[in-house]
Amino acid sequence: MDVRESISLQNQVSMNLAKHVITTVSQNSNVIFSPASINVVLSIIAAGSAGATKDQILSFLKFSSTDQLNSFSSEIVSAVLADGSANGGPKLSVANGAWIDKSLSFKPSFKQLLEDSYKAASNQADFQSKAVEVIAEVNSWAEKETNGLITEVLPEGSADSMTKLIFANALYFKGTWNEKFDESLTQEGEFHLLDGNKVTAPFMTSKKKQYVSAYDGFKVLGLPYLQGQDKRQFSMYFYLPDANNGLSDLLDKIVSTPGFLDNHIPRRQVKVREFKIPKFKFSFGFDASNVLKGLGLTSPFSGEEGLTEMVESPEMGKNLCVSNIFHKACIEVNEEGTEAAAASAGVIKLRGLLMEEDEIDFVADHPFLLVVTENITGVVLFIGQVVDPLH
Amino acid sequence: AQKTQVTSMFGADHLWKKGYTGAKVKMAIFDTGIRADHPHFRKIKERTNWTNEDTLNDNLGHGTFVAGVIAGRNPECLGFASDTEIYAFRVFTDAQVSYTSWFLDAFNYAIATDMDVLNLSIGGPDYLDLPFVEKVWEITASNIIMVSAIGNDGPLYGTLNNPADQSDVIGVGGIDNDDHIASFSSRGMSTWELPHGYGRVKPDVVAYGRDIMGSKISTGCKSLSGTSVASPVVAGIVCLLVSVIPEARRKDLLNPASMKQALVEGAAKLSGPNMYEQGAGRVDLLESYEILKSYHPRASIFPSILDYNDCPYSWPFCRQPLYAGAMPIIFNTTILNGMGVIGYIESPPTWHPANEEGNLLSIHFKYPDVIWPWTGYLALHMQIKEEGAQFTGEIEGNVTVKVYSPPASGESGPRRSTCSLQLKLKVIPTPPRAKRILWDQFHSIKYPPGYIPRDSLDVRNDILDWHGDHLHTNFHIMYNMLRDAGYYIETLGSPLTCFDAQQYGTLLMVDLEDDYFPEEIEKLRDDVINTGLGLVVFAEWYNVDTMVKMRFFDDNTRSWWTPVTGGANIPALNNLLASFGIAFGDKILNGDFSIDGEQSRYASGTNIVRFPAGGFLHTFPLLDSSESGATQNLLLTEASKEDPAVLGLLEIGEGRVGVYGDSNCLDSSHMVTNCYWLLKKMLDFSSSNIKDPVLFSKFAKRYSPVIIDEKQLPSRRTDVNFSTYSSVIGKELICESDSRFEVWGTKGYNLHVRGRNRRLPGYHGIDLGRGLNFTVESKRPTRWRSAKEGGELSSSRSKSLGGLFNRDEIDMPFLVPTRWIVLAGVVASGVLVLLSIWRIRQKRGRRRRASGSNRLA
Repeated sequence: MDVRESISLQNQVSMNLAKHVITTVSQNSNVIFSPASINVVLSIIAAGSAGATKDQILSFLKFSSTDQLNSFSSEIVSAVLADGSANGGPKLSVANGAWIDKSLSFKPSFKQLLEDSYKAASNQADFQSKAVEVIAEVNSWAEKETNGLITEVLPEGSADSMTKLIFANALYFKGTWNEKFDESLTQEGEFHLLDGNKVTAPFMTSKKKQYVSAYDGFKVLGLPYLQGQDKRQFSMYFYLPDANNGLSDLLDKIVSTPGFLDNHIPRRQVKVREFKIPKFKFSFGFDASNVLKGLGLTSPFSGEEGLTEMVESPEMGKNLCVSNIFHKACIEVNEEGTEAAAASAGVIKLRGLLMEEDEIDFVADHPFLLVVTENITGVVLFIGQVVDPLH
Repeated sequence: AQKTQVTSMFGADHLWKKGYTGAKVKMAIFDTGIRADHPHFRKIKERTNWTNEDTLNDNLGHGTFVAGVIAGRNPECLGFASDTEIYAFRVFTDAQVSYTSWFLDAFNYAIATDMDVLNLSIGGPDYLDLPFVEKVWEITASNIIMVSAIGNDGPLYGTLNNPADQSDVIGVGGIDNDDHIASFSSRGMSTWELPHGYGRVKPDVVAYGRDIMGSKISTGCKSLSGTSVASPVVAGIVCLLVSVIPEARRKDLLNPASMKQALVEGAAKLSGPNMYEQGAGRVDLLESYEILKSYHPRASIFPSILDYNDCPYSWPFCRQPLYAGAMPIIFNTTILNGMGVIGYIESPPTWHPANEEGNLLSIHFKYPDVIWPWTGYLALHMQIKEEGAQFTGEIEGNVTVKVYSPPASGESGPRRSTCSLQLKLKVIPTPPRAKRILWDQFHSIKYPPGYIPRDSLDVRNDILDWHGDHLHTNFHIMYNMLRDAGYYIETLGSPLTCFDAQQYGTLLMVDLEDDYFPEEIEKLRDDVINTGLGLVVFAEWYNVDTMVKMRFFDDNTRSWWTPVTGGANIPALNNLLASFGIAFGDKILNGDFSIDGEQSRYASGTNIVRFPAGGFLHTFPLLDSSESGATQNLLLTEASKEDPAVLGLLEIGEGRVGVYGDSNCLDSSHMVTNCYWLLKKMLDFSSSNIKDPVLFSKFAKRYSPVIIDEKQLPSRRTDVNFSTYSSVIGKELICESDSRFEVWGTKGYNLHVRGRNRRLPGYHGIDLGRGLNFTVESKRPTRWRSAKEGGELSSSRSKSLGGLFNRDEIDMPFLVPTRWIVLAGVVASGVLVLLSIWRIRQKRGRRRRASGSNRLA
């Protein structure tokens, strides 16, 4: 299976996950999470498990072997999730950390995998007597790794004297728009909530051509992030149902149609008539283990087979299980982008088809989905929904 | 959106009822392909694929739609000619990619398979893609009637697309259902003739192109807009018209020229749009049908009339009457030769005035030796003779030209035809010097072929400067505004030595990219300082770091593209302006500012870094966005930042100079705010010495010069071969046929000659020569005769020009004998006497000198 095909499968898994997160955790509130990030955690767990646990994770992620999964995940970590800020692209940092109780120690092969493939730091911790301090330590690690954007990834009481192992994964992404929005044009407007009420929120606008496509029942907007000299191209896509309350139908359609994301990417910039997207900033945290269990991935959390490939002691390994996977993400959409810089690439269009595209409206004044994708590979970094730009 | 059947809007059913449905017409559609079993089509004869994608199908919908407009038979979206045989050439991929080479292959196949009509709803700005252009010539020469979309780059002017801009192609513009030109439809004129010539009238015709119904990819109809749609409307009409002619006679009667004649002569002129928007007007199927029914092979001129009373159709001509002493007015017409693919002008065109006043008009003609394929140009260079300097009124008459083509098979003698072009011109007395502005077109360089970057770096979807930078293209609103303000604007397409500074209040130099001959720099200095010429310069950004960074790899041409200059060529301008102590810098300034209550946007302009004491200089807090400037913005503290100077006004010698660092506010292409108010105030100053109290406030006055080290001035790029694009570097200084007749082929008004003879050496020389029956050359100072001998006038065509002079000699004395004799008398009494008078006058001041020349005139 080639990488592109794997990514396509992973995106299907991600969308499925997203649907469950939305329907089970947060039907009526804003959601943002990183499926890429959760996949990395699952890959690490798979590498540390054997038997049914391993098989379950592999089948959940649609891989046939841990080698295949690990090489894929580490490739994503090094190629897609690498920092691009030195090249003028988005700032991206992914950090994986493992905290193991001092009574245990990692198998050398597992430790090496952590460090080499996932660039994960492994730490000793004293859960038995200092669980609260360990939580604080993990949280401050996450805060540092996400430039202060994500605080308290681990809720109070999420570890105690029984905890043996914590995996934490933090993904920090900060891109600026390829073309900034004019702040002086940002205006207050009404946003329709799912319950039929309205709130007043700031909306950004632009008269410039945009990547917008209209489909049956919904529209898609792509906003490219500044790429610089980076080879990767990140974009945020807005999936806006035509109906104010069409979000869940649209989500169903996305999940039930294989390759939906790839087949609904606006490829051309078109003239826009009315163009409004809200400014928003929110964070969202949840216990991914519950959602994964709901999707049938139970074994890693039940402890029946254990995580025998992870720790030195076979007995302890057999009794180990993952208690929780806490995940927290934060997103901000504002005008920030590059000033129309002097230099910009272009295409000398020798000749083209001379059809005049109709101007298109894109007014995101009701709940929509958003996806942050790396366009060359198709890897989905974030998925979320905005149902109220103020919360 | 209204979705009336486009076929009924042209009355196609009248021809259908007569049984004409496009049968036996081979229609080549160069597009995105079509599906084989599409239910809308009766005769998809063949599909070929010329792309690198392995499919014949249309997956985009463009090619199917175009085919539907031509030949669809679904009642919801009927096409014009359902029995036309469709040959679908797939030359565009689903991703809308195409290469010249694919077109060349496909064109060759179209010639080999003997297509009748070819539709290209495709175009681009590069009319210098020679392999493509030559292949199109070969297509039309092979008697394939090509119909092509004029482009969707309207409402800006100078946006014609190739190949629709070619004379052998039928170029189609778009109109809305209410007969207004569609905003998207590209406007004329053609720009490849610049700077020495003048653009051709295009589009040829217009047709409905908004919200037209056509076939969808697999089934059903949809609506689409664009000249992509207007083109197949005309192609469908052409197919219908071809089927009107019995098959046996088609190849004898029908060809790209005869079909264009039928279309333009039948077209209905719309009231409102000018000829560079609508061409001959809206296509009229039934009128063209009548013309073709009784057609005999002949040649004609398009447009067939230039009427200064017919405004706005005759814009820009009707906006400014002719007058003596002006640069020639050029009208570039197209010869359509329906007699044969090759044709010749039998004898030089002749001007037949309808009244005596008509003899005041002098016309020089330019035309090709060979009219091929089917078409050629006939350019009229018109001047009012000096005797007409006080004439007010109209001049009417006809220009006739005889065209012949070799005999067709079975014929014994050549085919001959006399074409006629009607002129109705308005003439006024020569306006006063202060009201006359000269626009420098010569130093403008555009795309193609060079990467001439856009002037406003904020504009990112149109990276090239390709609209011609002409008074009648992207500066047309400024032109209209100056006319409204009472100014007369003429165009200089030749070097700065080719105009007489005494005639003009101000030389206007806007957004110029080329370099300057040393002779030009020397003459302009003298013109301003000694002759009192006003000079107004609107510059543009220039920053080498930024230009280097704008380099990119273009997928289409598979090559690196790098800007050959900035928005303007500042190092060259600085050379020119060094005489006046003025220089521009390399900042790229942006921002809004207000002066005298007028809000202005400075959009990627330059800064003034050198300026003499005594002048007036205006600074504004603008932001530098150049590569180096952005860094400095960060490093410098607020206190150490000095606001950049962008506007300067200066009196120097007899003349006055105004400089401004940005041209975006005059350029209609991507204008944010206009600065016509500023231009007018600068012209008030440069031409009439009227000083605006705000621009000349004591706070703006410089008591010490602004100075900068020579090394800190922007320098030329050394890594670009500028001579490829320049008309100056590596070229010879020569006044071309855009300049006054008497300096054609010379180096112009030479400084050293003028030192002894401040008269207009050129045309007084001619008058003198005629009066005393000398040849023109014999009285000319040797300086410019030497250049002339190698020039164009000594070619075979000059004989026809000589013939024209001879005619004038006969007519002229009868027309204005008194004035003519006085003139000749004064001049003949001695050039040297005049010289001494001149010297005295100069000391007494300008006003006397002006009245003196009036008397002589």
